[in-house]
Order: sequence, then structure tokens, then C-alpha cells
Amino acid sequence: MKDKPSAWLWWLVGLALAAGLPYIITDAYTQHLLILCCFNIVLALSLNLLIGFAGQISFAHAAFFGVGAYTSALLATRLGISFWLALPAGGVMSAVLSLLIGLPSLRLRGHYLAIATLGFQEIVVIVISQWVSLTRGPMGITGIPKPRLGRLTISALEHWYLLALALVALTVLFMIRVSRSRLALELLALRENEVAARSMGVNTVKMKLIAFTGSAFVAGLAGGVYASYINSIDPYSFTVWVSAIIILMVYAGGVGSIVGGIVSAVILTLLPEFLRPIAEDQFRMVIFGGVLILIIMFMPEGMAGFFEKIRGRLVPRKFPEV
Amino acid sequence: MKTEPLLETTGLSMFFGGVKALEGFAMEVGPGQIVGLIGPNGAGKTTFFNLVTGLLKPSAGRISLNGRVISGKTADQIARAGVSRTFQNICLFGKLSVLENVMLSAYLRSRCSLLSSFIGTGRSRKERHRLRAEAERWLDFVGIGHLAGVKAENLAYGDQRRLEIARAMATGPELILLDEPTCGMNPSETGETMKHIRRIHDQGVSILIIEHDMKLVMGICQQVVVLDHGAKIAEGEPKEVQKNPLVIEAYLGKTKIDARDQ
Amino acid sequence: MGIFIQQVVNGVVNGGIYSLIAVGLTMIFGVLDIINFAHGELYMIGAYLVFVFAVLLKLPFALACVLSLLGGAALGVILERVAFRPLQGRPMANQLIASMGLSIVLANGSAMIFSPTPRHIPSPFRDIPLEVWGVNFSLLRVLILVISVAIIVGLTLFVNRTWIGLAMRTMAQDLTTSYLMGIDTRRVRQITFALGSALAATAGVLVGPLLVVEPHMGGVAVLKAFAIVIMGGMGNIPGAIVAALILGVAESLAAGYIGAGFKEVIAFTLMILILLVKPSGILSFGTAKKV
Repeated sequence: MKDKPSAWLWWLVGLALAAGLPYIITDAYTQHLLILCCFNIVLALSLNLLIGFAGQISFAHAAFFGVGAYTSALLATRLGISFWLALPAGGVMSAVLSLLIGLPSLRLRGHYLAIATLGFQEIVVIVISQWVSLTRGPMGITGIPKPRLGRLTISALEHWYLLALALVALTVLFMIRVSRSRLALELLALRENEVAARSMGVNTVKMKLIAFTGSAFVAGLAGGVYASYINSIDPYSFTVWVSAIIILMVYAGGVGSIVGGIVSAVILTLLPEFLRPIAEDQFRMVIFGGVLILIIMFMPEGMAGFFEKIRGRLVPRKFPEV
Repeated sequence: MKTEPLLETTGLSMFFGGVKALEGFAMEVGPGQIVGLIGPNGAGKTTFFNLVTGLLKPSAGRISLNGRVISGKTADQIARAGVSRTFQNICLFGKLSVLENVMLSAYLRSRCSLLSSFIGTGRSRKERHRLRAEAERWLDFVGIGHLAGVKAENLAYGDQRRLEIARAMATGPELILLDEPTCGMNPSETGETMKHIRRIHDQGVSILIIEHDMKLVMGICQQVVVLDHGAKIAEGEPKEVQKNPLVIEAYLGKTKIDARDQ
Repeated sequence: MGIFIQQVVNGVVNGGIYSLIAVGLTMIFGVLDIINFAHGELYMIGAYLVFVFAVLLKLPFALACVLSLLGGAALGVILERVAFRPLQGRPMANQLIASMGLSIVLANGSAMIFSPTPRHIPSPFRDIPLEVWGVNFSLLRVLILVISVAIIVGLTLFVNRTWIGLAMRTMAQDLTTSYLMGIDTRRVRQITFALGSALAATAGVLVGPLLVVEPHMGGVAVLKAFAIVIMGGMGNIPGAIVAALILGVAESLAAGYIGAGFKEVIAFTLMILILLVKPSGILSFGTAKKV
């Protein structure tokens, strides 16, 4: 079985092009948008591990993003811990917390699982906003320090973009490695038919926990980077509606598709911005909701599925080549 | 000298609320044996399979494999212990390809860790080649090698049943449980399946079959166990069971005459 | 002691409102197998409709209430036809997400039409405080409770004593067989959705004079309704009622004795506890729907 060297080439080309963007597009606001795209890509891809591969559903992704952000921010502001240490700590914290859903979720399916994760998401947000002594509640945490790399403090937008892009690259690498390994096969079997998977020796418990903690860890990492970038965070950036948007990105791109996830994250981050001049806040949300419904109704396989149908296999397969 | 049974159950019972699906069921499968499990619909046969493979936990009683207790273990543990199965209602991984379905089972025998597979070490790559070759062998064994890239849900019914067998065999079991493998098949397909079963037997694998097709049961099984309403009502060689009045009354009836006329 | 009773009574009243919303949701789930995220918006729209009819159009209050109820039912029928019927048979996640989209559209649409500022719906009569055994009750709250109870009782009778109610119950058990036995499943689905939506709208109508009305009030309410539905057992109407009351009282007591902020956590914490201990719901007996 050949590992496709050509695929790696495409990815590297894409990465190089992406890295060059901030030097072509010098408008600060657009650069900020590109950075936000990066965060959304990481969130969409990590959620895809759970939804696309393991076939579970979770409305709690924003909560893990938030836990990572808060952990990292608190460690940096209260204990003066360096960004590079606080970041993985945030990831680990999110992963550990995800076990709180992961373990009960072992027995839950479908609607029950969806609502349970929703409840968890809400609890996290409420706890963060009520535990004022720790998190300063609704006022949030401000003055989160920027990371330092040697003598360089990462504060210029171009540098932030590169950092965010590095995170994206790591996440994509992670997802690709998963999709080419035995993990993918076992997760997909779990997704397709849990009973049959167990009967064929798949430790579905282990798989579900790996999927939950893995996706939470990455989301937590993203949170840590985000907190430092945006300088101040509050509980309202991590609500269930954010979770919903990320879920939309996963579905719009095509559940299980890495490229689809990237494309849809970018489009769905930029789309509201393009609409901004022509529509006020609420109207944009109405359009967003409308888009959500239309996609679910007419393109449930997402962009990846759509392309796969009309062109065969131009877009890399949803399922791993074994 | 009586050899140690491969699979043995004692006093096995399963209650669902007030419903008694199985009660005090005791039976054994010897190494390399083909045993048929027959009985009218609802007798508890598939429930028994679910108990053996760990999808259900028995209300009472014990199941042992090679002398070690497996009842109460999880399904994946039991699969790794060497028990595999096919399903009455086809339970394939629909959106995965035929080859991927079987490769999953083949990975049961992987000697590499999940981590090394994730990293993509040379060893894990070699093993992927090896397991893929093995999976392809099993596909050829049941005659669907040419369909390797097709999505499992797009297969014809007969091919899906064959895929189930290939998938179950790829785990390298000592004991395979076939749940109505010829359900919905015409006589020529049934004949094909009988050939597969015989070849599986030639490899030394023990087989336990639930079947309604008496021709197959009489033709292949060395031992037959009869269940009715959750209790064993007869067991023995096919010819004896065929003549047992209790069995005739519960189940064989007219079919016995057909079988005799073959 | 007086305060305690006050809290409990307030809790019961809140529980009554919750139960109207939750029963509608659980009924729709039982019969149609749909979790409608936009259910909260029906509650919100019920309140806004009263605003439109009673305040803007200056219709008599009672008439405004009835019209709002009917409006809610009508919207329910439209939603079922437009958004949920096309998605029948698709994986559950699709319906959930589509209903989320609906929720966003309806909530923000209302904000566009009515502006996001919270509105107050004046009560049709002066709120006379009552005093019974040394405890203060507000007439309004008592009235709300009485009406809620009446509606729930009426609904229970409907579900248990009428043909349609029977059809609903059989469809909740086994859809295919119901269809094969000649039940007009499409019509029953419509009626169930209309009824469930009307219940939510009624809750909004009742709550209008009590709280301020704002476009996003549905969002919070629906999440609690989800928690209640899970606690009571999905599709289980008595369970939803009991769970709603328990939640109402628990929240009220918690707000009184621990602090207002944390009372929001109670719903979800209880829900997760139930999911861990008795996933089929507090009022289920024996083997229930597979979770």
C-alpha cells in the first residue's frame, strides 16, 4: 500500500501559501480575521474527531475551548506561568474535564448524548461565570500576557498569525495521522455499528474516551492560544451557540472530511464579516440560521460529500485509505 | 477419553424482566466440532449467541471457553479470547469498504500498539501490509475479493452475508458462531455457504450454527442441540434428533419428512 | 417558615410553567421522535403575541390570550410541515441542528421585528396580594398556577381518553405498526406538534405579565425544558410534570438559601445525575426505551 507522497506535497504547498498570506494582505482587520479562521479550523477539526470519526455528538466543544482558555489565562495571570507551559496545561485540563462527560456518555446515545453534552456545556459556563473568586465571573480575565519566544514577544499580527497557523498545521497533522492509522478504522467501525465493532474486538470504551479526550485536548490548546491573543476573555465567548457554530462547520464541510472542515471553517468565519456592512447584527444571525437549515436540508453530507458526488474523488476521501 | 470441551455452558439463564428467554441451558462444543443449534423462532437461540459473545450478561449460570470463564466479560474481550460471530440481521460497517470491514477484524491480531500505528512507525506500516494481505485472503476465501473497494452497504444480499463470514474469520477465532448464515438464500447460494463452512471446519475452527435450513443442519453438523421456549429439549447426532418426538412436535414436523426424502 | 412556604409556592408556580413547556417538548419527542430546539421560541412567541394582540392591537386580554395560543399552534403546524417533515428519517443530529437553526432565525427575527429591548406586558387586573396563613401570595401567581394545572389536567384527559390521544400513544410506542393499523400518522404528527407548540405558547402567555419579555427568553427556557424532559423520561408526560415541579421547587429553594446565580446549575446537574443513575427517567418502570 502506497503512502501518498503527493498528498503531503499538496499540504505543504497549501501551508506555504497560507504562511505567505499576511505579507500579501496587510490590512490589520483582515489579518485578525485570518487568525480567527485558524482558531475555528482547529476547533472544527478537533470536533470532527468526535463527530466524524467516532460518530458521537457533543455540544460541549465551546466549553472545552473555554476551559483551556481560562486555565491558561489563570496560570499566566495568577501564577506567572509561561505561555508555553500554560498552554498544554489548558489542554490537559480540558481533556480531564472531558472525562466527566466521556464516562457517563459511554452508556448514552443519540438524543440523550446530545442533551447530556448540552447540559455539561451549560454547567461549565455557569460555573465559570459564578465562581467569581476564581474567574472574576462575568467580568472575565484581562491582561493575559503575550507569549515570548527568546527575545521576541509575539504581539505583531503577522507573528500571531504564524503561531495560529502552526497550531492549525499541528492539528491537521494530528488528524491525518489518525486517519491513516488503525485508530481511524476502529473509530469508524464504532461509528458505523457499535455492536458489531465490539463483537470484532474493538474496545469501544477506550475508543470513545480517546475521541472525547483527544478532541477536548486540542480544543483546550486552541483556547490557551486564543486567550493570549485576544488578551481578555469572558464566559460569553464560550456559550452553547459557539458550540453550535462549530458543529455547523463540521457538517457544512462534511462530517469526517479534513479538507471540508478547513474550507467550511474559513467560509463560515468570513461570511458574517462580508455580511456586516449590508446587514445589522440580528439580520446576520437570521441569515446564519437560515444557512444552517439549508445546509442540513440540502447538503447534509456537507461540501465534501457534495464534491464527492459530482466529481468522484478529487477531494481526498472522507474515509482513510487503508 | 473425552476431550476438554472448547465451549461449555452450565445452568445458563437469561431473564428480561418477566420474560424467560433461556433457563438452565447447558451445552458444549468440542474442539473442531460443528454443532447446530435449532429451535422454533423465539426459542432463545440468538439470545444464547449474545450471551456467549458478551453482548448480554447472563442472569445466572456460566460460560467457559477452554476452561476459563468468559461470561461477564465484555464483548471485545471475548472476541480477543477467540470467539467470533456473524449476525442474523446483517451488521456490517455500511459506509466502509468491503476490505476495510475485514481489515478491522484482522487488526485484532495486530502486534503493534495503537500509538505506533498513530505515529506511523516502519513496523506498523509493515504490519498494515501484512494484515491487508490477510484480509484480502479472507475475501478471496468467500469469493468476494473482486469487490474489495465497494462500500459494504452497496453489496448484494448474498455478498453481504459472505462478507460477514470473511469479517468474522479474519479475527482468527477458535470458535465461530454463525447466526442463520443462509437466511434468505436460494439453494445454490446455500450450497456455496455450506462449502465455506466445511472449509472453515477444515481449518480447525469450531463452529456453532443457528439454522432453520434442515438440509444444511443434517448435512453439516456433527451434533445438534434443540431449544424450545428457552429450554433444551434434545441433543445428539442429527439423525437421532430428527427422530426425537419432542423435537418433531416442537419444530421439525413436516420438514423432517422433507429431509428424509432427500 | 413563612419564607420557606413562600419559596415552595413560588417554586411550584414556576414548576407549573416549566411543565407546560416540557410536556409539549416531551410529547413531540414521544410521537415524532424529534427534539425541537426551537420549542423555546414558541414560548417566546406566545408571549410576544399577547403583546401584539393586547398592547398593540388593544384587544381584550382574554381574547388576546386565546389568539396567542392559536397563533402558537399555527406556527407549530407550519414548522412541522416546513422544517421537520422533510427531515424525517434522517439521522437525529440533522433534526437537532436544523431546529437549532430555526431557533436562531426565530429569536433574532423577533429581535429584528420587536427590537431587543425587554417589554412589559401589563397584567389585566390589579395584582391583589393575598394572605393565607401568614404567607403572601400574589393573585397573579395563583391564577397562573390554577390555569397551568387546569391545562395539564385537560391534556392528560385528552391523551388518555380520546381517540387522538390513543393514536398519539400508540405512535409513540411503535410508529410502523400504528401506520399499518390505519392511523393517519401524518395528521397525528401535525396535531401533536400543534398541541405541543400551543402548550409552549400558553406558557409564554401566562408568563408575560409576570416577567419581562425579550427575544432570547426562549433560549434559556428550552435548555431547562430539555433537562426536565430527560429527567422525566423522554416521551413520558407524567414524568415531565413531576420533574418540572421538582425543578421549580429546587431552584426556588436554592435561590433563596444559596444564591440566585447558582440556581441555573441545578437543572443540568440534576439531569446529569438522573442520566447516570436512572437514564430512563424518574417515573419509568421496568425496561424503557433503550438509551
